Amino acid sequence: MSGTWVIIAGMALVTSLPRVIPILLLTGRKMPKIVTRWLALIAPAILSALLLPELLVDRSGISPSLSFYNLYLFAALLTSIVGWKTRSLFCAVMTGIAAVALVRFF
Amino acid sequence: MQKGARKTAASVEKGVRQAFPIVLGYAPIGTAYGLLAQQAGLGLWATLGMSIFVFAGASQFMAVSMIQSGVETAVIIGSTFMVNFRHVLMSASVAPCLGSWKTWQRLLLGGMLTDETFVLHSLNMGRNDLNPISAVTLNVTAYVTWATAGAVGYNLGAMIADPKAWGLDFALPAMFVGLLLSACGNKAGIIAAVAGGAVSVGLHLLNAGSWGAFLGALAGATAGVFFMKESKD
Repeated sequence: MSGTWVIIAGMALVTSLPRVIPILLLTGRKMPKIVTRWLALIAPAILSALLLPELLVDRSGISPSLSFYNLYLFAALLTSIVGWKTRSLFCAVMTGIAAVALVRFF
Repeated sequence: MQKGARKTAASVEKGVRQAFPIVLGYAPIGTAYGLLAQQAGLGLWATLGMSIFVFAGASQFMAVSMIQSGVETAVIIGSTFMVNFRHVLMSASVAPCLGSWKTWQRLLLGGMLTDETFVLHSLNMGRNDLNPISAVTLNVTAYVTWATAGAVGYNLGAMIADPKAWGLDFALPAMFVGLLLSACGNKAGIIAAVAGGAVSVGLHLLNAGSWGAFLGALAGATAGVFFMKESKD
């Protein structure tokens, strides 16, 4: 059991350093405009970089392959339509979860 | 009530309100984590402890399955580092706006940064509306939800034998879809998202694992900056 706590302590260290160090080093520094603009674009870029492989890459085979016909992609399209129309993150998330649950049920 | 106190209360309320969609996303995912940890034989305190001290969804899922299959400690910690290294970019991205913040506020903002809370902070930043009380409240609300959900999942045990049947495995991707819609506020944002996603998908096809998303994000933001520069000339 103590082994698990060593793992947790190590994980705590390596997850907190990347979160905290840039803030401590960069706050209050004057940065060129192009750098702050670049940093502002990190949000859409990283979200999409995390999301799209979930929707488009099929890992069930020996090597990963592109997949355009899958439940996640269908549910994501539905989620984005609802999100776009309602402007509500809550409605969007609930639609996505319900769509996946319903398809699996039937 | 004094004016200052009323203002603080309003900021706290705003933070909780903004955290609401994240709470809805974290509740099922955190529950699924607790369930898996229990099935992996982690014990209640270790399950809760990991949520409290690590607070990183993907890494926790990964660590639980690695612990279950008896992977070496150093490998688990190393993998966690790689999966979570992307937070360097998020932390750097919010840093320019924290000039007037106190150190403890900055530590609380950074220490509890997640993909989801970061996007909301980033949106507030774009509106010049990132205030320390609301931001820290948002973080704490998400954090408490995550830890509580883990404990609930642990105790639910066999009650939800299959979270997938409830579509709960899609809670996180669905939240990303919703957040991405709001993060693509302008043309440069859309370019950054398209380029970042394309590069990441390409790298995932080449088995780049968690580095795919990190490098994709670098490429996407760079593409967005270049686009903005050219469109202005």
